[in-house]
Parts: sequence; structure tokens; C-alpha cells
Amino acid sequence: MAKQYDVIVIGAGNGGMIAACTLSQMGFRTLLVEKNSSPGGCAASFVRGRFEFEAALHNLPGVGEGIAAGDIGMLFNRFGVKRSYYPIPDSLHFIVEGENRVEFCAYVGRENFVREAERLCPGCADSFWRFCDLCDELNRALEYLSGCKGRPDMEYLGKNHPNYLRMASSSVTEMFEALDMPQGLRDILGVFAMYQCGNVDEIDAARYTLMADSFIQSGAFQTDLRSYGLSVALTESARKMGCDVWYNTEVSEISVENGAATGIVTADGRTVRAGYVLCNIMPHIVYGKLIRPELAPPMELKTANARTLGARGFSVYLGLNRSAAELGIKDYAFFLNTTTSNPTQVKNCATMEYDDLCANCLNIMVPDASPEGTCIVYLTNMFSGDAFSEVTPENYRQMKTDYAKRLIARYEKALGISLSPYIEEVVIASPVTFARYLGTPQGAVFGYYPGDWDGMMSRTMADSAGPGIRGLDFIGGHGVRLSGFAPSYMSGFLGAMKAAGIMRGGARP
Amino acid sequence: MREDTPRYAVRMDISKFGQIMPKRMAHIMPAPATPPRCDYAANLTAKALHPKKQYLTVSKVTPRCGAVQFTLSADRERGTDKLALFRAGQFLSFRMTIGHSVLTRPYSICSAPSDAAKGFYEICVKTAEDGFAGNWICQNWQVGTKVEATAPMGEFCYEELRDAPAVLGAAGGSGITPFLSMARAIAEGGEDFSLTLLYGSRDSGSILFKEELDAIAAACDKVKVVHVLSDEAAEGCEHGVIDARLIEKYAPETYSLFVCGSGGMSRFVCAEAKKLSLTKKYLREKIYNATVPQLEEGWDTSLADKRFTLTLVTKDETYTLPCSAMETVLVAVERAGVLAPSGCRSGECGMCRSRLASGEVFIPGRLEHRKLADRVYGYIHPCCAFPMSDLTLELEMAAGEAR
Repeated sequence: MAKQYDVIVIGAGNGGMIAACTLSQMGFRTLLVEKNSSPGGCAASFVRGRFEFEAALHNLPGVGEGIAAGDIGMLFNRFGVKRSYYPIPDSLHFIVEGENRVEFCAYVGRENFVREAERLCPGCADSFWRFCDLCDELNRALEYLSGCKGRPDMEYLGKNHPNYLRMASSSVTEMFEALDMPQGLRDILGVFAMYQCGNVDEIDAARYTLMADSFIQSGAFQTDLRSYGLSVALTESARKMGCDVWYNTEVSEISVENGAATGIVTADGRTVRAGYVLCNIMPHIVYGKLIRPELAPPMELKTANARTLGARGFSVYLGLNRSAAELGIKDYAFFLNTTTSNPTQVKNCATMEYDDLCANCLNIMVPDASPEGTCIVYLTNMFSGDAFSEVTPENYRQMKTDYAKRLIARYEKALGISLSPYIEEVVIASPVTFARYLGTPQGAVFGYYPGDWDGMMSRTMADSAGPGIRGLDFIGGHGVRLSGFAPSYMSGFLGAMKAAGIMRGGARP
Repeated sequence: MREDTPRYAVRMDISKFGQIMPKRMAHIMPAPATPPRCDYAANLTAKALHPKKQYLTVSKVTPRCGAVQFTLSADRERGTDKLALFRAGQFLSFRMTIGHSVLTRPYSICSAPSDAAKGFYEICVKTAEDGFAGNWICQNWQVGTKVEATAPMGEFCYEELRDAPAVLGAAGGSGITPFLSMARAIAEGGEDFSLTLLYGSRDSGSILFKEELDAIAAACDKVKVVHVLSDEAAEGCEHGVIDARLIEKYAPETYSLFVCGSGGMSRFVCAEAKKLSLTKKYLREKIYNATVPQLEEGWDTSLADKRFTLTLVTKDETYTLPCSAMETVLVAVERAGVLAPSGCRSGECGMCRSRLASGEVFIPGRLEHRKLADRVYGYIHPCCAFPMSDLTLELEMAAGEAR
């Protein structure tokens, strides 16, 4: 006989794990299925020799105390997840190479940020403070929004938080223009957009501002057992609250009857029934592989096809047999760019032509991240296009090795720091690797590109607009809050609360 | 809040807010109502290189001294059209049922990487070293036998970003197989490094792949083979074991030492490497199957011959099984006929990751490859964990796989 649950969560990624915790805690019989043998999706780690590498987490906001306390910390507390967090001292650090080499590095805090910004762009302070005022206004609006259970009173918003509505419907560049912000400061602030691999001319000002302000004002954190520690802690919490967790379980079909999801069929033919299916996998996969086309609502298919895939990841993970101090590495993380212009940067990273990167040295934040006398460095680039469109099984190894070499060489040249002779372990993760473990099209790691028509507000409004398949919903980095650790955790919570409301008999808005 | 904020912000056009949904719909409506595309180059490549299973057929059986070489071809009838390409040094993990046991065994691929594209892999199974499964395979696999394997796995491969351009390979017995693949890859230009092989065998009559290796070495100046015979003094061969002295004799100035052989040989060579103050960067060891706890450092001798009870919880059933301090938890599970996921059997791949709900296990230090969080939250790799008490294990098997 088929097993029966209230909810099945497909995918133990950040959204799926939080959703499983939320629903189990509320007393719903919950099943979390994961195709890999361990949880986390992107929030993972892997071991080579005496090194355990962080797969994806660069910085996690909202888990600190005081001003840095936030919704993610509250979620973790709610589920009894206790790990150690190390505050990252800088809010933003980047180097632009070229004829006029520029280095920007500001400690967390608005005063620190504006001081450094004034050094590079004298006279920008006024516009920076105007930007901060907007940030404050945005946060007040979001406080209202998070209290209104997904049903905002637009009239109230328009009256009390008009600038929120403006930001939600404007691009970052339009906001900068309205603030009379000099180009120099726009370029500096534009670097934050790389966390979404977003073009400031296209992404919405509200979501961007939320992120940039959180880095500037509150900073972010790294954690003690890699992001995988958070993943295991979360799945353990879910399990303790009664959730069944099935690893090594791939879903081959989502059952749909009379326009409603009724459960799943696993790859080895097991049927599990549930009144609600929460997908921590992209609509591309759900509508491309798991739901028969004739049962998929045409609007859902059109939406998926209309969307642009988000950035594809490429990372080189290095286990080095020298300490950070011995190598001369002082900074936890910085961007290494070739242009000050964010739109140019985003265009450049569509292919493998450029080798801009974000460099991290985990030991700077987590001193015992690797044995004494060693350190872990990872170099990451995000491709804004399908950079691996020419990859084949035959050319793959050479392709990824060549690009990894370029990233390493770029780092060594720009910093005058030698890494190559000290490489004890190396792992290269390319879009192929992410396609393998996450199953996303093109190895996308940032869900869908949040540009132009598909930003946070657009997704939020569409989310409450109407039914696709009843009892089927999406959570994760492709969701309403957009990609990243904090947004995907948050989307899991919001999706679970929505599901709980519907299951308890509340009508779908 | 500063009073002048609205004055600036108001220059953002609020009327655009009303345009969000119409704009969204304008983009969505023209798109096709067809299943979205998921088969991009990255996805197809991932699938081709890492199939979940490969169905193979034994297409040739070649007896060799004390071992049998099997040629395995893609089984199109069961859905394997193309074999996954591999890097020289990788292995396949085979799944089989022997009597009541369902188990896996990893075997290194000894054919050239280019052979996979031609549709076959070769492995070589020595009967003596892995008695149970090895003997069974040699006796039972015939031309036409259908077998099931994983995708190629493992990291015992040359890595140009990490390794010295010269590799010194220390091979013992059937541990020659990954090196044979490397030598072939070098000879055909697929790998670019030089390989000096110190190859230990008992006597000149028991050297596996002697002709093949000597032919490659004669034709390719990047491959050199030194036969090291323990029981025979023969001309052109070294006599003795592969020790620090011998390594130094043949080692170039900078080199990576790759070691693959039986447990005893491998442990000995790695200990010898320490005398040469070889750093970890330059030392790679291939371990196949953790089976003998009493040879491992940290083993509590008072556990010898102790027997315990293993309570195995799967998503369908709970089993109560006998287990012994002398065998891994995985072996106890397999012997009971419960099909558990596993791959490398040396702690590295993590396929068998399971939750230890109660009890204590001994995990040899050299096989400890768990992630920190798994250690903290009580997850083990049953393939290299030996019972020290009664255990309760939650097995993370695939749905519906219990027999």
C-alpha cells in the first residue's frame, strides 16, 4: 500500500530543509526526499584528503546578534539549530585591475562604508546617505509586508511606503539616478549586484537594496562546520520533529489528478501519496520532467519557458599545504574584476572569455577549517550565460582544467601570491558538476535571472495571483525571494507557511 | 529620516508599479506552452560522465596468472548505449548477489581511457586477494554474463594542477591495474606525465600484464617499468620489496608517489615514504576494501572475535542481524541480504552514509573521510566502520531496494 503523508518536500536544499522543519514542527506528517546521499543541495561540503571544502557559502547574513540579528538566525533558533558563526569584518572588498587599479575595502557599518567610498569618489557621501534613508524606508515597508501574511493592502502601502513601491518597480540604475548618485559610488555599490550575478540596469532596486544594505549595515557570517553543518543540523531537527527523510531517492513523477498534486512516484517505482507537494527543484525540472505535459497548466509552461536561467557556477577549491599567513593571504574574501562597470562585468562573464573571480580563504574566518600549516582557498566565477554550451564528455576535463588554471593564474598575478606550488588537493566544480548534483538546467545555481520583468515584486505578485496545480508549490533559490542562502532558507519558510494555511482549510488567495 | 528623501525618491516613477504584472504577462504570453528544455550541454555531459548505473555484458574472458581479465561491453538491451568515459586510475563498483549476500566490489579499470569510447572496459580480478567475491567472479562470470556497475569513480588519478610531472608508481600484485590504464593513457597521448613503475610480484612467473607493460615501456619513453620480485633474484629485476631505498634509487628529483597494492604492501610503502619525508601533496594511496581491522592503528585487541547485534532500520522494515567486531557494518548488512548503497568501500565516496542511532564503531584513521558535520551528528560510512558494541543503524537505501 502506498505511504501517505500530509506534505512531500522534494529536494533537501535550503528551502526544502526549512520547509520540512516548519511543517513537521506544526504537526504535519512530512516526507523530505533527496536524490543525493546527503542533504544541503548547494549547502554542502566535500572531503579530499585532509581537507573539507565548503561548496558554496561565501557569506550568510542574519545570523548574528544585535544589529546583525535577523530572520535566518530566528529560523535556526526556532528549529533548535545551534552552530557557531564568525562575523566577516568587511562589508565589501573588491579590486579592479587595469591601468587605474582600484581597491575598495570597507568594514561593516555605514560610516565605514561611506568613508572608504569618499576616498575613491570624493563628494559621494550625500547621495550615500540618501541611499541609506531609502534602505531604512524599505526595511520599514518589509516589516509591514512580513506582518501581513502575504496579503498586503496596496492602498496602505501606497500611502505609507510609497518609496517601496517605487523601488520595487525601478531598476537599481533608476534608483541611483533618482538619488543623484555620482558614477563612482554607483560603480562601488554595483559590485553587490554580483551576488545575484545581476545587471544594475535590469534587477529591481528593492531586492538589491535589501541585500546591499544588509551587507553594509549588518555584515554577514561564515559558519564552523561548513554550510553542510547547517544542512545536517536542519535535517536532524526535522527528523526529531517527526519528519521522514529519504536520501538516495529520486522522484520520477509528481502525480496530478483533477488538477491537483496527489503525491510522487520515485525512480524505483514506489508511490507515495500526499495532499501537498512542495518542490525545492526548479519549475524547469518539474514541468520538463516530472509532470506529464498534458497535465501541466499552459501558463506554468509558458512562464518557465519565458524565464532566463540564473548564473551558472564555476569554482576551483584548493587545499594548500601552507598556512594563509605563510602564503601572505590576509583577506577572507574579495572580488577581482577587470571593470568598474557592473553592466560590463555581467556581460563579460557570459562566457569564459574573462576570468574575473571572487576569492575566499576559509581559514581567515574559520581558523581550524583545515589542519595546522594548511589553508583552503576557493576561487569562484559566476557565468551570466551558458558558458559551457560547447562542453562534451570528451573535452570536459581539458575545458575545466584550462579555466581553473586561468583563475589561479589571475589570482596569483593580481595578488603577487603564489598558490600553484602548494596545491595538495584540488577540486574543480563547473556547470557540469552543478548539473550533476543539483540537476538544474545548464548547471544554474541562482535559479532564474531576476532581471527586468522577473524581479522580487513581480514574482511575489504572480505567486499570489492564481493557481497552477492545486497542492503544488515551489520553494528555493528560484522562488519569490530570489537566490542566495538567506533568500532560499526564507522561501522555504514562507512556502511552508502558505502550504500550512491551505492545508488547514484556508482558501488560496 | 532626512526630510529631503522623498524629493529624490519621488523621481522614481511610481506609476510603473502598476505595470509590473502587465509587463510580466507580456513576456510570458508569447512563450511556448511546451515542456521546458532541460537537456543542455552541461546536463548531457553530466549524465554521460556520471550515469547512475551502467549495464554491462562480459564479452571476453582472458585468464592471467592467478587472475582473470574481463572485457565488459555496453549492454544496449538493458539501456546502456554508451560507456561513461573515465580518467586513468578510476574504478567501477560492481553489484552482485552471491548466495544470500548482495554486495558491491570496486575494481580499477585497466584498459585505456580511449577504449571506453570504443565500447569496452577491462578489469582484472585476482582470486587470492579478495577471496570471497574475487573467487566467485572468476568462477561465475562468463562470456555473456550480465553485470551492473556504477559510473567510473575515484580520485586515484594524475592531476596536473597538483602532482609533480613525474609519477613514481608503487604497485603490488593486482594493484597494477590502475597503473596499466595510466601507462596506456600516457602512451596514447591522453595523459601528459612520466610514469616510473616499481611493480612488486612474487616471482617472474607471477607478473600480471608483464608483456603489455614491457611493450608500452619499450615504445614510450615516458613509461618505465621496474619489476621488483620478492621471492626470486632475476636478471633485470630488483630483488626484495619496494622500500625507501628502492624508491630513492628510481625516483626523479621531484615526484608524486602513487601507491596501490594489497593492504599490507600499501601500508608498508606509505610508511617507507615517511622516511623520505615525502609530504602529503606528493603521496596518493589507493585503498580498495577495508576488511581487516586488526591491522589498523587504534584497534582494540580485546574486541577480537566479539559478536554483536545490529538493528537495521530501513524505511520499510527493521532487521535484527548478527555482526562481528572483525567485519565492517556494511559486510554484516550485505551478508543478511539487505541491499545497501555503497561504492568505494574505503570511506571516500560517501555513498553508504548512514545514521548510527546507537552504539559505537571503530573507524580506522586512514579511512576516516567523513565530513565534520556527519561526525558531530552521528553519521557513519558503514563500509569502513567496525562494530564495537550492539548497533542501531538507519540505512539510507534507495526507496524499494530492500530485498
